Amino acid sequence: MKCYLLLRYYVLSVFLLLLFFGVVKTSYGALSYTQVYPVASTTAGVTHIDSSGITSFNNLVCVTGCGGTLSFTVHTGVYPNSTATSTYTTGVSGAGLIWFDYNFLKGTGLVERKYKEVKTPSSTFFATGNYWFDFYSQNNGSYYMQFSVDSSGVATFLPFNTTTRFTGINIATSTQTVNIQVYWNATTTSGITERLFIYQNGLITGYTELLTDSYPLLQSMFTATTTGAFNFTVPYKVLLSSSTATTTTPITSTSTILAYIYQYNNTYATDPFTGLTDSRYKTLLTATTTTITGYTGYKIDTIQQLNLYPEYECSITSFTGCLKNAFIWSFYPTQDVINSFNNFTELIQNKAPFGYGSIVIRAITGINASSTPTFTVNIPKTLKTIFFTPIDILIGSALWLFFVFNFYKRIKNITI
Amino acid sequence: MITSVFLSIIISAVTFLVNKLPEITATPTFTTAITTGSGYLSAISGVIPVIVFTLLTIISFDLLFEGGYLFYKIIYWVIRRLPTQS
Repeated sequence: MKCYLLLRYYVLSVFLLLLFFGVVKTSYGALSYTQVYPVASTTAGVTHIDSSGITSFNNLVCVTGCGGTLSFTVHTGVYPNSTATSTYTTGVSGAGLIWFDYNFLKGTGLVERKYKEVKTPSSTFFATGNYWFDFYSQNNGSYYMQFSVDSSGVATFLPFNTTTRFTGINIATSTQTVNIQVYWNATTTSGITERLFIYQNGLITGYTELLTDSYPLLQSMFTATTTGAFNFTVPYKVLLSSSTATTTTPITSTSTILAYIYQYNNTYATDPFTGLTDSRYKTLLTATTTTITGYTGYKIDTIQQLNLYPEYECSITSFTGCLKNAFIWSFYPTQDVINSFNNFTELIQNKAPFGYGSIVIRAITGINASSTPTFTVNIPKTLKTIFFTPIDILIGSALWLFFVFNFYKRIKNITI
Repeated sequence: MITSVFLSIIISAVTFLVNKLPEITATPTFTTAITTGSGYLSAISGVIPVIVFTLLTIISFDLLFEGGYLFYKIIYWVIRRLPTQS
């Protein structure tokens, strides 16, 4: 009897060694499910319920409180991000040791295979990628599972990537926010940190603005204090019309969001003597960018479009704006006309006799250009400063006075 | 709109006339002369910049002014001459 009890406890303890769960209780209609999140397993080859090296997971065993179905959701992505989900429900109920085998070899769903049941997997595989799982056990039944690598597995899963990287960047135009998903590492080495910066540029002037610095309360969120996947939502800037009318139409512009993750190493900070920053202090690890599209409002990307924008709001409550816009439309020249005038000035510079004057003017205005002169006059700098510069100013002033008096005499004697 | 139409007509007409003018053919001698002279002036300008700038400005202004005055005189003579032609 003693031997039998010892053997039973031994078998149970072996099974229970495999996985540990954190539990959140969730209710779904008539059935009571306990949502179970698998956490990092100690089983070799499996970390953080990721699909690293997994082609199947089997031996879902209901230890106690069984009597209903087991369902689980497969998430696509790196925990906690989820870009797609698939939910599976087992069809087996009962107490005791129940064996399941879900094999990733079938692309349209997981193959449920009972203990010692033989099933041929489909040739359609899960796409290569990262997956993680939520498990729901009915009646608070506790489960454990074993992840294993099927020796005949043909599906290829990505090994868990621990490199600091961006895993996604999404723009929400309805809330005017940008959501950035990252995976980063918080090192234990003193003085080394990873930090996220989010910039926005555009908005006509092209000025690049640092968004993260605009939100000082969130500064701590943008420094990696924990290794893992995180996402940050930051509002981006938009232009607004300066009109005070009630029907203000916002002015928008093409804008780009740029995100960078830098690694800071305080070992190489600013030199206290020279004030120069060591280039090793800040290293760019990765960057990503996206363009904000789908604007509502009047879009202005260039100065030409800005010139075409009506200067005043025209509505029932601001009728004078309509009149002003009408006068502008009537008398202000369009950009096309201004462009044609510029083209005309360029054309006339290549036509005789005006072109010859253009050549001379270009040559004279190019005197101070950086081109190499045919000969140079080198004089000592002190001689230039002490002797030539004062003489230069004196004679130049005298020439200007001479010109003014003579021009006056010319104008006085001119006949029209 | 009005200004745009008016300016468009004027610019189109003048462009049409200007297109009839010959292209400038900067002879190599002329270009070389300008370039070499600019080089000399550039070297001297490094020593006495104010004098060089003043002389160039005065000469350019005088040429433009006298050229414009001559152009005006010619146009005025043509205008006065035309009605007397039989």
